[in-house]
Amino acid sequence: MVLPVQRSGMVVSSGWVAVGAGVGFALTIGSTTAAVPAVYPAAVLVAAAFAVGPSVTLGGAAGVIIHDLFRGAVGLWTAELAVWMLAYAGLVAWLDPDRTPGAPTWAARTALLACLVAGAYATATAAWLTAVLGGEPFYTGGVDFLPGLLVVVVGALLGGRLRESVPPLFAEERSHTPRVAADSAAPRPRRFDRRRGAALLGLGVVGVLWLVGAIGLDAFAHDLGKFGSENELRNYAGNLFGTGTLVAALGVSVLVGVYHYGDLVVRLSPLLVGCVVLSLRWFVSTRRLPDWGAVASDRRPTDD
Amino acid sequence: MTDGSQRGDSERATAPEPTRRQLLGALGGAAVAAGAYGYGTGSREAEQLSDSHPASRAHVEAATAVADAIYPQSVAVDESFVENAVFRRVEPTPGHFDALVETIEAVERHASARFGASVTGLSPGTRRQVLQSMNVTAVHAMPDGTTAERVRFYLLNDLLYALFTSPRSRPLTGIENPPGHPGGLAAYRRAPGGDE
Repeated sequence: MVLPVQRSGMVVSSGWVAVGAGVGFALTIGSTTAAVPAVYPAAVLVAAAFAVGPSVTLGGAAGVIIHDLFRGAVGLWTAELAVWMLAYAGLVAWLDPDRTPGAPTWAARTALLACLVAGAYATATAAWLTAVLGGEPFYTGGVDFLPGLLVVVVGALLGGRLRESVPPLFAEERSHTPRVAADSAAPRPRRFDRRRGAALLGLGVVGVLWLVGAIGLDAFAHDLGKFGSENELRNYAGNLFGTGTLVAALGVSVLVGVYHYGDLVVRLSPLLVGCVVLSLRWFVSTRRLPDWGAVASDRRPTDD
Repeated sequence: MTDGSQRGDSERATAPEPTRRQLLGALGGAAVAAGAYGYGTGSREAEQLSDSHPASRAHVEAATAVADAIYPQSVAVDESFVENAVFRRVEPTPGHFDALVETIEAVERHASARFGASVTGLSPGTRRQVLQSMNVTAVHAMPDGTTAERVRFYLLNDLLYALFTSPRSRPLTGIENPPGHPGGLAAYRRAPGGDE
């Protein structure tokens, strides 16, 4: 199965933005009426980006903001949701470097991986933003978006199938660029590029480590915050680990370190992750990795 | 390029299509108009509890609605109890009531944005959902923490403190005379656990 990822991200389609804004507004009203968490309609709009491009998600974020304005209740929840949607769709568009209209699409597993990678980074970014702005801790914000991640994955798969089934429905999005070809309505599947897949996998590992690690660290630091002072924590740790051993000293040091600096590390985590990603990119660019099975002259081999 | 696609392109070229600037202008205008409408209809007359108290009658109503959601069903909640036990008590620390009012307004705004109505207009079950949606139930109470932590500290803890330091909590705790509520002479004449 071929699951197309955004293929004409160079052009913002005003029509799809308008459609996204309307649908986003309507879905948010529906979710508030039915008391369904707003992350679900947001995830539907993100999943739509896989079928028709990120313009619809851009409009969807605008729809959410307009809805909250309409309610007279714009808050951190508005920013959190809009940032998650935009970061998700933007990352998906960024991860697919080939924007030419007739370009072959990614294979399903690569697209699925891209979906998860973008989801991890978008979720961590939104949770971090909410924590920094003082809405709620990182771990609660991050956990809130995980069901949305699942909806996006399922929706992206369904969107891919829909795009395969009725390609003329999505022809308009591609036609905004001048190089429209008649056969562009039937995207060619792109064979799994191991080199690009490995880079994507590395990026995904860093993103998942960021999300899961920051959630765990933040929750742990939050719980340790119940201790009124460092002495209380040291007494507790002394009872827990004992005294006079290396394990005890190490355990107490870790607990005291998390107690004092856990929250700070979570807040600075984007810088750390940025450094790791840039280092990874530098490492990959300076060291030529073996290209297993790929055609040397074509970095985007197809099944044709 | 085929003839069909050329014809399609020429048709699209002649069709009036809004520019990106026009579209963004329309979205912005709609947002401003909707916001003005929302804020206009959402504002209520603020009847202050007293000149020096930051809370209004609307805050007491909202706090009572939250109390109705978090108190056990065996406890009857009325507005006068919440007003006297929470808002009319001696302020624990300077600025406590200001923070309490801020947290009530944060809950109100969240309820309005994500559940479509004020806290007082929602069912007790949905009010609990509001608190869960804000993750108030997943954090520890901290006076200087995030909004969720402050809501837990100032609003939920105040309401629970009011309940468990009043005789209303007797069905739950069995404590008839919590601190500050002496039972009087009749209580001293009763045998422990007895009615007389």
